[in-house]
Amino acid sequence: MNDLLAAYGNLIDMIFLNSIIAYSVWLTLSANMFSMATGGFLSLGAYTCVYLTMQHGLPFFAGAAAAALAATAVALILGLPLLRLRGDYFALATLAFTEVVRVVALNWESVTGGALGIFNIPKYTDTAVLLIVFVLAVYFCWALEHSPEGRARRSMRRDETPAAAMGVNIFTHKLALFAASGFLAGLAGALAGHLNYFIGPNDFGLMRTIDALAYPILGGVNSLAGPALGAAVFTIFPEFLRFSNQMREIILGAVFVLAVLLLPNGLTSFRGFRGSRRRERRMGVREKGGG
Amino acid sequence: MNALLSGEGITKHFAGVTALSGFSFEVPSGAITGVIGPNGSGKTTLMNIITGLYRADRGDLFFDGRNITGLPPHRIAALGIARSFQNIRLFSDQTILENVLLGTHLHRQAGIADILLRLPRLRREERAAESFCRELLERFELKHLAEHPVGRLSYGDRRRVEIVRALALRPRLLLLDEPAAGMNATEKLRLAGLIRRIRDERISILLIDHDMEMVMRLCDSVTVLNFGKKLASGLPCEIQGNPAVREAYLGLES
Repeated sequence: MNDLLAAYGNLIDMIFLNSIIAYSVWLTLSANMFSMATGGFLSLGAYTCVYLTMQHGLPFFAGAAAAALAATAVALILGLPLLRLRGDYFALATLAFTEVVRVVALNWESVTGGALGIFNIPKYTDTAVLLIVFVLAVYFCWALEHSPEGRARRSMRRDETPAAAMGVNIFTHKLALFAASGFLAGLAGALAGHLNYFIGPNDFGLMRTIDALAYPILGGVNSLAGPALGAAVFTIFPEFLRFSNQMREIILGAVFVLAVLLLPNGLTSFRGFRGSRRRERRMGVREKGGG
Repeated sequence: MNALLSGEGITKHFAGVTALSGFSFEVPSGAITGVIGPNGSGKTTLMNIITGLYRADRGDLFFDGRNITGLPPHRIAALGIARSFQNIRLFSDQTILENVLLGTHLHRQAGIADILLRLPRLRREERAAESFCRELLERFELKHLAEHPVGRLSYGDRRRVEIVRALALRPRLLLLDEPAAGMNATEKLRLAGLIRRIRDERISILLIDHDMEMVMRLCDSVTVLNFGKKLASGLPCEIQGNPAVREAYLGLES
């Protein structure tokens, strides 16, 4: 076990970290919000936490909490105007936010170290911390799913008009989920900041955002296991492609396109498909039995 | 004067088309009120304005003496106005019971702490809501379908499920948008019985339809819409004999 941790410890850490990010994205995707603000929230969380721990000597725990709360506050402020936008416009506006955060990080040298980034960050994030946050994130999403709020969310994801006619306040629901997504991403950013001794402004840009969106989409949005599964596959798979740097990107892209084409409901649809067939058969029998 | 819902001078334009112009109406408490009119006469527009989906360009809506003009859909629902949709809008990936359970959304007390800590209140409420919904399904002879996905239902059953979902809101006023559309004669008869039973439970009903027969059979009073304007209003027998209505419907020379 210790050997395994030594050899693959970094990979395991990344799987947990990416899974936390995946649940943050899932909170928005599962309510029809195609948010590209994830990179911005990650960046905000990372810089806030590192700034507080390194320049103000705050304990890691306090810095991470402040980072998560800062990202939540920004998500609320951002969500108020942006959630009135439809589909693609919302996606573009949130992407613009991620870009703005990157540009600020690039230029605010006294806090972010500018283009050079911040070096020699103490490593506070270990596998145990990541595991705890991961478990809490999964629990949070699970508890939400298994509550009236989860039902409201599933209904408005399917069709907003009848959901509103049944008394669901669509805007408030979306804003709350967007804020929760910001909280998780801010926390994940804080953990990422203290994981690898270094952060720079380009760590949390467009590419990181797209990767983050890929996790739950690849894994499946309709299942609670989807985001973690997608993040795990998306983190492990590139390790097998280390033989060629160019081929790696191409193969990864091709696999992703194939996955979306062949499994539109994500990897978890393998199991879900069998489950629904079995359920259908059971119902069919009952129907016949009932006359 | 005991109108539960009333509208005064409701006007709505869509890019040059006048869907409703200066339309006034009243829905008395405890009765079935019908609004009929040929296709394109503005019936569904009226429905969408009442439920807050559209905003009227001019005019006011009053519910129980309160001005509700321009309130968003979820606030309208919270006041006790529930609706069905002309093109049935059930959540097709959920079971019948789950669809109906959403109707109890407004009556939930459980807050975020109950949800995240899974406090007993959450379970208690969920159990109460479920038994309430099962009871509702039983009363409308849909109990045996509770666990079925919507996709497996017949058309008539879907319409009934949508009405039951609206009833789970415990509304004071139920708006039905062409509930008989696409139904065969047997299904229509059954639906008429269902609507009467709902009225007998002291829920007022506004029935919007172009099916004369259905409206005449059920309604206590009828308003006729034509090209966004009120053509006539009165008792069903008065409407039936009204030459202007006959002309609008049948194209007869009066």
